[in-house]
Amino acid sequence: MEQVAPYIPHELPIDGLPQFLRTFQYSTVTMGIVAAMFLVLLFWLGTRRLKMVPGRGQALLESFVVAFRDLVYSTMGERDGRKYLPLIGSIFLFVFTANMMGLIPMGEILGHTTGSTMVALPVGEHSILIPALTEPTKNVNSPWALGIMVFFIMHTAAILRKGPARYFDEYFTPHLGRITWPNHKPLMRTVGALILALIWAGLAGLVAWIAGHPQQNILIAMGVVGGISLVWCLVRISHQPTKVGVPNVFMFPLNAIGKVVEILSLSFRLFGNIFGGVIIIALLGGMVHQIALPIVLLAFVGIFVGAIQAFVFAMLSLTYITVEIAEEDEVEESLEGDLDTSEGTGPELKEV
Amino acid sequence: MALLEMMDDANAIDMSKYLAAGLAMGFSAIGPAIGVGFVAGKAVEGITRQPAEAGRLLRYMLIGQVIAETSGILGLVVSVILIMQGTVESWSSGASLVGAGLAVGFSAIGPGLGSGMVAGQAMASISRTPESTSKVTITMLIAQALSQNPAIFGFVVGILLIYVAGRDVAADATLTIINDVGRFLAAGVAMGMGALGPAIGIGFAGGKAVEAIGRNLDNAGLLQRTMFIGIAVSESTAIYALVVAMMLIYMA
Repeated sequence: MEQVAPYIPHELPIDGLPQFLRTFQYSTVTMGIVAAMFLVLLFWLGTRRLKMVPGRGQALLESFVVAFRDLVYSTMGERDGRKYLPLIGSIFLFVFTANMMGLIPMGEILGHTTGSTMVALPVGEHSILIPALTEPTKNVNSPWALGIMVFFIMHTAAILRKGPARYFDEYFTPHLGRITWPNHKPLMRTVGALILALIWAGLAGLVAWIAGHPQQNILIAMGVVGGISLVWCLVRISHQPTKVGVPNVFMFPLNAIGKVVEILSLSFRLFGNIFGGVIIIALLGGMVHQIALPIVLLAFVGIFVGAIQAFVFAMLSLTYITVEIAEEDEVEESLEGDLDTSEGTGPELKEV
Repeated sequence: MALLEMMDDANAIDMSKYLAAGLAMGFSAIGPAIGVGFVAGKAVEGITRQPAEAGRLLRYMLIGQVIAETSGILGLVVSVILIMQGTVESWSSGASLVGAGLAVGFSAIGPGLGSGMVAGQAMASISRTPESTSKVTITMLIAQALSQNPAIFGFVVGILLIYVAGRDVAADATLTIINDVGRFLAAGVAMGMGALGPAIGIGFAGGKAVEAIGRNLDNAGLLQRTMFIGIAVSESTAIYALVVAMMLIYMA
């Protein structure tokens, strides 16, 4: 019997893709798919024959769904909750299943018996490699993938809900104050137009700088964009005057970094905890050749920490989405309502 | 002269990884330990007030303690990674390892204290008004997880310092080496010390919110929202520290 070294695919055979998109971790990807398939199978079997009086399996799944539904509804209200419950529930279930997959020490057993952590299943001429069960979440890429997914969902939802103008306005909060706009006092109008033109020119310059243009082009872009927005702001008088916040330019970088960082910490929290658990089990399990201690450790680090971190991941995703799609003006207006009444917008409205 | 002779000795460079591992584990043990003890103390206090809820308090105490220990686990992970490193080649990579140890070690102090504070107040709240348990627990989990954010920034900076910084540095130019040593140590100190305060601040905000929800369950949504805004603002200094640490790592 000849021994063939198992070939572990780690690169997609597609030309033209950049290197970092082509390489992948075989066992992580496979285990992610296994976790997803397990959940699909479980819920397909569980919901195949639904009865009014549920059996044991249906009752288990139902109690989970009901518990999560109450949680999501109480956080974001029933209208949004109905939309986001499947997402949040799936995130929890997937992360939970993924965290639990290392509990069966299949890698150790395979390593002791066959010397390899993968089983080759012959199919015709080729063979399919089945890796041992491990947590896909202990590789940093799978928490990242989940985090990036949550990032895109929450920002797309926020843009669709609030509209681009109000969404991007939030990056410039807390506002420097509130003014009536378009304002019919010439001085206020000019100052406001200048501020807005400066913001747009600054953004244009930033984009040009990031794109790597030379200094001359950056100045031209800033001048053109700033000029156009200045003229537009000065000319635009047809709108009904409304109260708008003065954008706080200095807060933009902080707010923008904050949006990225909250997803970064979401992903790294999951990764750090699961990877830490794996390291603790490996270290102490290797040090102590006993049966009782590793089992206690597996129970504590694997089940307890894994379940809590899955719940924390789902809850934080839920909270981030809720905060992002919430209409923030409710709080702000209720705070400023008392102050605004003394100013009076009556005379300005008459001029229109 | 002795310093210069030592600088040429390869074995002397190699000590940096053990120093870094000690820094990472030693300092990251402080916060979580105090935090976990605080939770247990509050839980005991709660059980004396409400002996009927002993089982529930014990359960939620364990959950709170597990999360409060996260930063200690991160410290352990990084110190094991540091010990497992191969021979350290140059002074700049040695400095990057020590920087990683500083970043992870110091940044774990605050989060342990902060999330311990949150969980402790949650114990007090649960024992005072047991019917608020579910709201209090969820708020506690969110506040604790957010209080861990600075420790996670420290972990990210530590991993970057270990795996990215100090790897492709020319070994001959003395001035570059001194620059690099300064940069990497400064990145570690910036992130480690920068994470200390914000995490304790977030712990204050979260702890008071949890206590307030126990007192006024009807306004839990409003309290949660206010807590979230307050936490986002108090986290900003940790984000400044992260930005500065990144700049120190990447801008030569």
